Amino acid sequence: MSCFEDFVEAASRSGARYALLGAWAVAAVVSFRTTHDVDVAVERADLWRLRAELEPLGYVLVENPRLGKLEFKHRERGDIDVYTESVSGVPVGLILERAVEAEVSGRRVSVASPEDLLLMKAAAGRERDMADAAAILAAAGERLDWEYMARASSELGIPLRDFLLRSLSRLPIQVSNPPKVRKALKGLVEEKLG
Amino acid sequence: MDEKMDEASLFMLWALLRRPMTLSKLAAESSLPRATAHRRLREMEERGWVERSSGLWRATDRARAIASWTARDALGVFLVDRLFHRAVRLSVGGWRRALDALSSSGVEFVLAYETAAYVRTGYQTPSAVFAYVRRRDLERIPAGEPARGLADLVLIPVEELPEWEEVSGFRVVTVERLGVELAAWLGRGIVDMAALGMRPPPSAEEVSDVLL
Repeated sequence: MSCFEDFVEAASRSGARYALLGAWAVAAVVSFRTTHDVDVAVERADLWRLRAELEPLGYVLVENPRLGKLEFKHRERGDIDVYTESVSGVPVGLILERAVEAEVSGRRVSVASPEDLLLMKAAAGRERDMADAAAILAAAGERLDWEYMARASSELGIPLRDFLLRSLSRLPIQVSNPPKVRKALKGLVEEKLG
Repeated sequence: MDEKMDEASLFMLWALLRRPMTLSKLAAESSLPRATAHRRLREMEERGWVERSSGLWRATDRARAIASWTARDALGVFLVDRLFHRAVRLSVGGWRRALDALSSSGVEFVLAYETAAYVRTGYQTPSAVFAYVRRRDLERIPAGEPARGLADLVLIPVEELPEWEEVSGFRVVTVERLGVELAAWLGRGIVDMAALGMRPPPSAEEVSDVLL
């Protein structure tokens, strides 16, 4: 068992409301890279029910105040990083409200919407965030709710447009005809976000 | 499109790393005819090294990150960039299936890039199988469809296979070459570099959460 499977089963048994974040949520949009660690947004009230499910499996809950998260740590199965307040400035309540159902690694799970993922990634702005954002844009660019992203990025003060344009230079190598895709996505971002 | 990236291109990239410029100014600084400068810029734009807006050409964020690396390491990036630019991109139904198809083809191959990183570290799954194959062997691989979106089998044709090491039953590129391949496209490759204990190009990347 991996920590991904442990978490999904614990959430199912406890009835906790959650949304997967990070690489596992990207995997719901496009077949991309996943790590064995799991990032997840959870309501604070559900944290203790999850703890009751995970501790018997050998997970230890520790607080990481520097990164504003809690971590269920396991020596072999990996870490489950839990956010209960906000993720890179995006409120957990908003993420959970807009979460969507998806199949990831053969399981039906709840994941952050691709729009909220892009907002979180823009706020974090790291190398891996740019790569993930470029993969999401390449797979789902036209289908995204651009009106929501424009409004939310403005309200939350997240430099989404600049981040997405920068991300285009991290377009995955395996995209067919990268110059054409990059040009089309640049036009899309500029049209939708001004 | 010609796939040259010659000394003139590298000079223009160097100039644009200092400041954005118009085509005319850049052609003058590079002592190139305007048409030649424009052709080279278009080639670099296609490869993601430069971009243009409001009449100015500028180095991309990726070019800036690579340029902040040591010259010795950054120079290798241009070779792998050129080789990967010629890659054949196929869709066969997932990277695991792609690896099975390649393994059972009887063709010699060397795993590269994020696939090699996964074999070495097990930290991040690859999004595709990246492999060097001899050009003459390309047609012997029972290939899938040419990829429309993201490919899951990326074959990099070469005259001879690069130096390799055997890891977990697979031939994978050497650690040194893998480092250059991962740095060439940055992104999640930076996380692989951290998992391999390598020093990535200087950037604001936070990699302290990678378990080594």
